[in-house]
Amino acid sequence: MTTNLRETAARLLAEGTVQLVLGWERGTLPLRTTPLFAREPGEAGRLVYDPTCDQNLAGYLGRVKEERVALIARPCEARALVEQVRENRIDRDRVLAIGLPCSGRISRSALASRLTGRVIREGRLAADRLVVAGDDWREEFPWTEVLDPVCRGCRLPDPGIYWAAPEGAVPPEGDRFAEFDRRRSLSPEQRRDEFRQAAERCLACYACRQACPMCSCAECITDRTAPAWLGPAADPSDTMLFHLVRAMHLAGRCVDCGACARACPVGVDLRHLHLALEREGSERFDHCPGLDPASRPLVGGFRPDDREEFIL
Amino acid sequence: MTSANAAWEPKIVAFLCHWCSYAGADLAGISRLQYPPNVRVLRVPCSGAVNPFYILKALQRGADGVLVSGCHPGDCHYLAGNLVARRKFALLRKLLEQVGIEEQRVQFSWVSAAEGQKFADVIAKVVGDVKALGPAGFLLKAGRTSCP
Repeated sequence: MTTNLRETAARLLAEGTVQLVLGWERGTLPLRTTPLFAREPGEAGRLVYDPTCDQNLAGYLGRVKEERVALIARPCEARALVEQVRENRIDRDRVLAIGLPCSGRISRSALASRLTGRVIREGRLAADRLVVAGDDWREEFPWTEVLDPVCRGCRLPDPGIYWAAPEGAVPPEGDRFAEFDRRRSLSPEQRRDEFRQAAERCLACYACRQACPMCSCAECITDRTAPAWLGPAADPSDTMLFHLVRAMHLAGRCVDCGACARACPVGVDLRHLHLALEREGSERFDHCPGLDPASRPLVGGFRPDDREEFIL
Repeated sequence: MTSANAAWEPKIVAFLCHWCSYAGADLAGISRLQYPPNVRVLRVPCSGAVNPFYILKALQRGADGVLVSGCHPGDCHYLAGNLVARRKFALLRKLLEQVGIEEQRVQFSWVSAAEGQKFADVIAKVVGDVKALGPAGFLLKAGRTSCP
């Protein structure tokens, strides 16, 4: 599949159909990838595609200047692209979405907890087996054992935005709401404790914001100094506010790609905040992000008959 | 309950829309209606102008509860500001519930300029609810123990 992808990308660049191909290449650490911005046909040879591809590439679309861009798109990228088109942030005709079948992604945090702190020196994928080795150890197991929880029960319907639609994609089984449901069963005190613990770990580095394909404000509220809504240091109160307001900003827009959780250097995963709003959006307002570029926004609009049982 | 707790009075920040709820509060005042003095009123152009972040920020700066009040649906001076707000608030409530913040801490109401009595009743209810919950310390920023 990678060979095909490289050939297609090189051809598109050589023919001048696009000036840029957005994809992934090998990173400097084992099992890591980094975004590749291929502008010459020769650079297309560095493209890779496998379950270690981490970043959501759709987030880079707003930051590149090329007239036409080819985007290597899994369902995550496709949904984010739909949302960006819906918000008029990207011209639909500027992007060729090359759909690739996706059967999930490796979660580095799941891998790290399975390896209990051992440092990976070498890692590779052989078919469905993941081979990892360190200084004096080696392990081999199916990579689906460390599948990213965000991929379980992936929504795969074709949003109709692909230039080349993916074929043969089989979504991993499971429920991406599993962790959300666990938290729903907690008492308010336990929920506050868990949220506070996450906020205390948060470094306020805003990697989640940077990795998010939908976090697109030209000036983020965290960067404002007059008024300085949030302090410069990682105060738990400020980080709690940041994560809450980020969730509000992503209400009805978050496509649940999990890029925020994967980008976090200290393993804070607050996807459940976004899932709470996604579920409320679908149950209360019949809204589903990432599937229809013509749909109405969730926040900023209304229906006259929206329920208001909570208003005094 | 210790004497310190017995002396505690909740602080409520109320965002009132200029066209209806603020006038409703004014009517309550000129009608000499009694309601608890725990509320700090902030006048805003429209309930739709209340960014959810303002509500969170009030809780961070020492408010024990927040009330947002606007015009009844259909009466908005800007036609639909309150209807847009209604959606935002429904989502914010869900988000606060998700992180374990009690729903009575942040409340919403429609109060028209003619509803002085309703305004007094709403304030009494919100103050009573927050009093029952006790001080809100969850989002409070260290060193910010009071607002005037």
